Formats: sequence, structure tokens, C-alpha cells
Amino acid sequence: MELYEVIRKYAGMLDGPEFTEHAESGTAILVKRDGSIFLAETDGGQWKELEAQNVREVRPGLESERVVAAAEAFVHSSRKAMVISGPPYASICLEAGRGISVVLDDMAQIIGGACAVCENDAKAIARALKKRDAVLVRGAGLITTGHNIYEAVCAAVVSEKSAEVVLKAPVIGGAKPLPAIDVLKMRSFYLKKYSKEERAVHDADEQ
Amino acid sequence: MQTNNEEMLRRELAEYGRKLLHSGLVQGTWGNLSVRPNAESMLVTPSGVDYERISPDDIVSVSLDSFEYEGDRRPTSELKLHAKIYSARPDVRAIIHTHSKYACVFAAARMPLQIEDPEIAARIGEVVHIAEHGMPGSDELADRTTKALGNGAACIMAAHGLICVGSDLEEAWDRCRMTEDAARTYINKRWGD
Repeated sequence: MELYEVIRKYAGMLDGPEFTEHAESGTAILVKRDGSIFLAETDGGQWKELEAQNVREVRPGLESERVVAAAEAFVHSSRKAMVISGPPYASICLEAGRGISVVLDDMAQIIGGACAVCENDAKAIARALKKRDAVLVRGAGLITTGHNIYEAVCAAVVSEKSAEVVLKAPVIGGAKPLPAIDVLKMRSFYLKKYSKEERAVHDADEQ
Repeated sequence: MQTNNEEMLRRELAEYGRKLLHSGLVQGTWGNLSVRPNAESMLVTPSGVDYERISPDDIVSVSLDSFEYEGDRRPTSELKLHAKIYSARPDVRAIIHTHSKYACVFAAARMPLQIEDPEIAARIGEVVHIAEHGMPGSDELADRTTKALGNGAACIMAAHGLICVGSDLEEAWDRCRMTEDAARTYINKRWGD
């Protein structure tokens, strides 16, 4: 499949209202393929209607402020896909400088722990993404990564859900963070078992 | 060899999986569904396959006693949870587990949900209880969720999501939607939306 077709197939979740209606900024996807890094942006359209002309090779040092540091961090990452987005509740957490605590099992498994806040600097982003698949970046938004496009997109969706849960839970007493040991166990289980099964299904398309 | 009834149930599981995804009650491959066609086995959604792709042939038949299964796909990692509920509830023929957002607010806060809408309360009960946390896929999770569910229609799983049961998938699905709607109303009324 052509890269734009693969992105179109797996980025559909980003067409949901939380990423389009009240988002602080649009969404960009970075993908490693054939030794290069490609950038996809919809220019306000839907991901499921992405065309070939919306995907191009990254120009090192020449991209927008929200992409340039993320792209540089991505070069050194072991992950093959990155999503840069600005969904509303993650953006509120970023604005407040508070990060997204890990209160749900899916966040523990898919992200690997709490989503921290860092500066829009390649080294800071790379450091944050070393053991997590999500970080909130000042001036860029929510950055998530994955072994493939599908995982990076799921990470964005799960992070935004957790952000909304954490922000709204105080009306019923507040969300309870998961114990660190449980987060580690769940992340380990996910990486060894579940993620491999998903990768077996999705990587075949993303070659 | 599949019977006509099993073929129909497999199609329904694939169809309701897509409904869950399109309605936003699950994200990606998360959540799971099952039906019990007979006393010995259950049909469950496969692990790691997103709902847009699932075909009836991907549905996995699992023995309720031994957890042995047939076919190329692995069954959902929450096998024990489904099996435990079927064992405790002979009236239940379908189970749907979601990670729906507003149920997850209650799951994260470790709080039960008081159903304020009398019509929804008449269909799923006045309270949706909360099960203590257990690691995904564990016996603990299965035991704790089954205990909290009791004879009810739905149960929130701490830090995890929601599980609903029914006499068929249609009923379980309706209960998932109603519980999520009730949770959304409860939270947004107090949040100020």
C-alpha cells in the first residue's frame, strides 16, 4: 500500500470530534519508511480522505515550530510512527502544566505511565518518550508514538480520554492514580503480549 | 463444523464489535464481546484485531471448562472474566466489555453510578456497582467483577471500564449505551456542560 493509503486506513480515529471540533490545533503524523521520515497533514480535511499530496518527506530544520523538535526527537526514537495533536482536554492539562496521571489500565498499558509535560526541545521530547509513548509539549501539543501508525493513533485517543477523565473525576471525588508497580506490570504485559498481536496484524499493511 | 446458529452468532459478534467502535464505546481493539451458544462453550472476539477488520471467521470458540480454543486467532485476554460470569449467571447469554469514557470516570474514581433517569433505572437498576481493581486477564479481576455484578445488568470495573450482560447481544449492547448515557449525564450535569 502507498503510505497515504496506510495513514488513511489507520488514522480514522483522529477524525473524531475530540480531535476536530474543539481541538487547540490540527494533527500531524510522522512515519518512518524506507529510511526516511514522512510528514502527513490534512490541511483541515479528514484523515480518511487523505491524498498522496498531503504526505511528503520531512525537511530537517525547515518544518513548523510544532513539528521541528518532534521530528528531530523522532529520528532517534525506536518507534516508527508519531502523532502530534492538540485535543481539548490534553491541551487543558498542558496549559495547567500538570500532565496526565495514569488512572486507567489502558493508559498504563498503551502509554506506560503518566504523561509528563516538557519544553519544545528535541532532547527533552526524546527523553520523555524513552519510556513512555506520550508527552505533552509546550508549543506543540500532545505527542504520541507507536510501533506503527495504528499504535500511535490509539495512544493519542487513549491519552485524550484519560485527560478528560482526570479533569472531570473531581465531581465524584477525584481519580485515583494506579500504583506504580501495577503500571509497570501492565506495561510489561502489554509490550510482551498484546502489542505483539496488534503489530502482527497492522505491520503487514504498514510495510 | 459450524451450525447455522453459530454462523449467525459469529456474524452478530462481528457486527456488534463494529457498532461498539463506531459509537465510541471502545477505542481500537480494546473491549471484548462474547455469546454463549450452549452450556459447554462460548464464542468470543479475538485478541488484537480491530473491530473494522473482524470477520465471522475470526471469532473464537472457547471451551468454558478448559479454555481450549480452535482456529488461528487467539481469543480475548479477558476469557476468564467472561467464563466466570457465564458460570455464575445461567440467565446470561451475551457479555460486552467496554472502555467507554464516562463509565471510565467512575472507574477511575472507584465510585458506583447512581442512575438518575427513572427509565434507565427501570432497565438496568438504580445503581451500577463498582468492582475492585484486578490486573487485566487475571482470576482476581474475574472474581471481583463477577461478585460486584451479582444479579445485575452492568458493573463498572475499577480503573478499567464497564461490563454489561444480557440474554442476547442486543440487550447487552442497549445496557452498555444506557449506562454510558447515564454516566455522561451524571458527570456533565455536575461539570457544567
